[in-house]
Amino acid sequence: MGASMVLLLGSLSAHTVSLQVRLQGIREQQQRQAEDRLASAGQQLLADLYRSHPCLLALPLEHWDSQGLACAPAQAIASLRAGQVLGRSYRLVSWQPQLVPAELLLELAAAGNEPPRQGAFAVQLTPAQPPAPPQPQITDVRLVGLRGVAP
Amino acid sequence: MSLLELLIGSTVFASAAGASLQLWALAGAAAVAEERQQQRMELAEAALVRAESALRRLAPGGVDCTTAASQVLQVLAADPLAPGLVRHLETSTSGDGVVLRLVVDGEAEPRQRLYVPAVLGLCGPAPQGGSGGNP
Repeated sequence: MGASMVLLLGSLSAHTVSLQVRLQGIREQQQRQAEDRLASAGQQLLADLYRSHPCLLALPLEHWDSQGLACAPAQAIASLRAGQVLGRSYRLVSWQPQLVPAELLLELAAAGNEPPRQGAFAVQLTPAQPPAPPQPQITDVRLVGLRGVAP
Repeated sequence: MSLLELLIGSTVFASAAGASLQLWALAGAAAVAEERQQQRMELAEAALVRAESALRRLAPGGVDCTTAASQVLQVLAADPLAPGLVRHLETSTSGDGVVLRLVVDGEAEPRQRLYVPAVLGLCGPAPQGGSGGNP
């Protein structure tokens, strides 16, 4: 009887380990998907800014609702602060163009059992020089980090 | 120990050994399947890294964004694809970007990324006086 119990318990623990490995695989896959969406959100947001309201590129996020109103309507600013990419919602947490490289922080909304996740981006801006338009030019953007957010 | 006890004990042990073997077989098969899936996921990850590197090697600025989007499509389509992966390329809904989708065998959701040439410095006015930011 004892030997039978040892056999069963041993094989049950092996099965548990394999289930844990599978779970770990699923978590990794969810993280990769989040990374994909955040990277895409970064591209989409910066493209929207570049295309529609490049003047905001030069302003830190906290100034958008004051100085930013001189060059972009409040409704446009609100729609830039939150959006949808590849089926998930995201929001703009921080934009600091005064840093080199500029820093962008986006948060992907929670979905199902996935927590919200934030992605930090390094954005290369080239300062405007006459006769170029008076706004900085985006020359590169990279997702440099991903982190979970406490619920 | 009577013959009856011996018989019952042997039956219990044989059943336990059988069940145990089945569980080990299940665990082994699951581990092999997971390993294969992980390999496919790594291949998809590598394909995305290669795609991004290839885009960063494109010459910056100077062309219009539609031409740049065509270039991006060509570069992404030219990357050789590992077995077990299927690539789909399409223009983004805004029209100025390209969505790369990599379908991985056995995964419900594809890996997918949006690339916008304007944000990668591939179109619009050429940067002046700067390094271009594309190492």
